[in-house]
Amino acid sequence: MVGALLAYARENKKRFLLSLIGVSIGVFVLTLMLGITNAMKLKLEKAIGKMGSYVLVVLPGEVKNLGGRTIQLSFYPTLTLDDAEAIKEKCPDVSAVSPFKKVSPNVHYGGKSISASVRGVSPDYLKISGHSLLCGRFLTDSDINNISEVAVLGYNVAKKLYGETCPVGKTIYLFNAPYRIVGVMEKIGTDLSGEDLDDRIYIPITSAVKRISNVDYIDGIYVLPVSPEAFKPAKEEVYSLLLKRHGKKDFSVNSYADLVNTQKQAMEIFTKLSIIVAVISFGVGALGILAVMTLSVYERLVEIGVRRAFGAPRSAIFLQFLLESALLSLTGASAGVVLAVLIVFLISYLAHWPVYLPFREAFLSFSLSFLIGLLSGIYPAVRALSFEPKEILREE
Amino acid sequence: MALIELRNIRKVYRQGDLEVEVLKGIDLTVEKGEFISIVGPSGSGKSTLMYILGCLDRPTSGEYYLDGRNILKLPDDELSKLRAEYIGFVFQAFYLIPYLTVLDNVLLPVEYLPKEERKKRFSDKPPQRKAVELLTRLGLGDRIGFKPEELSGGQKQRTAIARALINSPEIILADEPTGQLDTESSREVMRIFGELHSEGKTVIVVTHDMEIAKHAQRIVKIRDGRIVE
Repeated sequence: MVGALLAYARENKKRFLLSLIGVSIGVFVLTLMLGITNAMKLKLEKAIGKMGSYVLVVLPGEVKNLGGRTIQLSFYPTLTLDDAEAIKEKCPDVSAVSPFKKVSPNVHYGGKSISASVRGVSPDYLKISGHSLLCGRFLTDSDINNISEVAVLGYNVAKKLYGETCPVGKTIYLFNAPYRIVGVMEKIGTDLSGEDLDDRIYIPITSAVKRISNVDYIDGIYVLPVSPEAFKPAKEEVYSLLLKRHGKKDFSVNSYADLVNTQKQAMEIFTKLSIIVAVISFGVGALGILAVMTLSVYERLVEIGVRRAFGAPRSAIFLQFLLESALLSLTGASAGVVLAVLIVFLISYLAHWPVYLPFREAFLSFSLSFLIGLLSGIYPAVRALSFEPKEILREE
Repeated sequence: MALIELRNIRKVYRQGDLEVEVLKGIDLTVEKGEFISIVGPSGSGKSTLMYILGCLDRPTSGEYYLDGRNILKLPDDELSKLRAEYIGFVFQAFYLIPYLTVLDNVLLPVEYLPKEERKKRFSDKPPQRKAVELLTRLGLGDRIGFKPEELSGGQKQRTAIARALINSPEIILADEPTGQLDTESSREVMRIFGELHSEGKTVIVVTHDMEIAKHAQRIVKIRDGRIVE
C-alpha cells in the first residue's frame, strides 16, 4: 500500500518535494520556536529556582514593567541597614534577610586591575540565593558586626586570579584596601539580567556601606519568607513595617519571580508569533498535500479501478489515500524536525543555556503534521471513491 | 446449481429523460470449468454484461446467482469480497500500474483477499513465490523487476493474466483480452486461456472478434441486449 505511493512519488519527485516544503517549514518553525522558548524557560526556571521562587525583593523606589523589562522608576536614599534589621526582628513570617549594595571599586590583585562586580550582602544571602561554596566559608555575623575586610570570590574571579587552587587566606585590594579572601562560590552562571554571577565578589554589607561607599542607604533587601505559603503574609508584614518606619511609600516590595516574569511575558509574545507563523506554514503545507494528492487521484484512476476490481472495498481505497497523505506530511515533517532539533541544541549550547533537546516539541510537531496530513487527505480520498471501477475501466 | 446463473437480467441506463435499455432480459448459465466466449458487435451490451458478471455493476432487474449466492442482495463490501475470491479480471488495455514492477503488479490483488481465504490459498507457498512461479510459467521469469513500460503488449497481457491468477480465483473474466495485441500474441493469450481451462478454471472471454471467440468451448452471441444463440 505504501509501496505504491513511494513508487509513484519517485516518478513525480519535484511535485512531491514542493508539496512537502510547507509542512517542513511549519514543523521547523514550530519545533524551533517552542524549543527555544522552552530552553529559555528552563534557564529562567533554573535561575528562579536557585533564588527561590518566593523570595521578596524590597527596592527603594517604584518598579514598573515596561516592554518586558523591569525598570526602577524612582530611587530614594532612605532604605537602610536598620530597615533590614527591623524586618528580620519584627516580621514573624520571614526566615532570612539580606540587604545588598553594589559598589564599584577598583579591584587589584598583585598590581593587576581586574573587572568584577562587588556586592555587599549579609550571611543570609547564601541561604536566600540557594548557592553554595566551592571552598572556604561565606560571610559571618561577626564579619558584619566588625565591618571586616573579608571577601568571598565568585568562581570566575577566583579562577582568573588563582587558577584551580583555593585562594583562602590570600589578599585582594578594593580601593587599595586589603581584603582577605575567606571563600569561593561554586560555579553559578548568568542570572536573569544576563549578569554573570561568577564575576562577583561578595563583601560584608557593612563594609560596602560604611567603608567603601560611606553612605547609609542600600540598594535593596532580599527577604526569604519561612515557606512558599508564607509569601503573602510576609509581603504584607514587610510592607506595613516599612510604611510605619518611613512614614511614606518610598519603597516597593516585589516578588523576585515577578521581576523575572516580565521576561516570560516577552517570551510568550514570541511564542504566539511563532505559532502564527507555524499555523500559516502548516496551512500552506496542507494545501500543498491536498493539491498533490488530488492530482494523484486523477493520475491513478487506473490503479483505483484495478484495486476495486480485484476486491478492494471502498474503505481500503479511502484509507490508502488518507494514509498516503499522512505519510507525505510526515516525510516533510521529518526534514523540518531534524533541522530544528539541531539548531535548538546549537543555540542552547552556544548561549550557555542548560542543554536542551526539544524532543517533546518534535513529537508534538510530528503528531500535528500527521493530523494535518490526514485532514488534507480527506478530500482526495473522498474524490478517489467517487469513481466507479466500471467507469474507470471502460474499454474504447 | 451452476457456478453462474443469470435469469432475465435487464439493465437500463438513464441519460437525462432518455432511458436506454442495454440488456433486455439475459438468461445465461455457466458451469464450473467451462470455457465460453461472449461475442457481439460494439453496442450490443456485451461490456455491460461483463461488468454485471464481474460484480462491478448491478442489473436493473433479474437474478444473478454466483456459486449459489444471489448477489443482488449483497451490499457493496460483500461484492468486493466476492470479486476478490471468485474473479480474476483481464482487460483489453492491460491496466497495469505504471509505477509498480511486474512482480508488484501481480501481487496487487493479494491484500484484498479476505484473511482466511488468504491463509487457505497461500498455505503451500507465500504470495511472492507464487507470483514468481506464475510469471515464470508465462514466460516472464526474466521480467520480474521490470516496469510495464519496458514490456511488449503480449508481455503486458501475460503479466495481467498472472495478476488475475494470483489469488487462485474460480473464474477468469477477460474483456477483449486480445484487442491491443498482434496476431501471434493473441494466439498465445488464447492458448494460455485454453490451458487454464484444461486445468479446471472457468474462463469467460468477452470479444467482438469471432476468430478469438472460436478458441472457446462454447460461444454465446449477443446482439441488441439479447442472446441470439
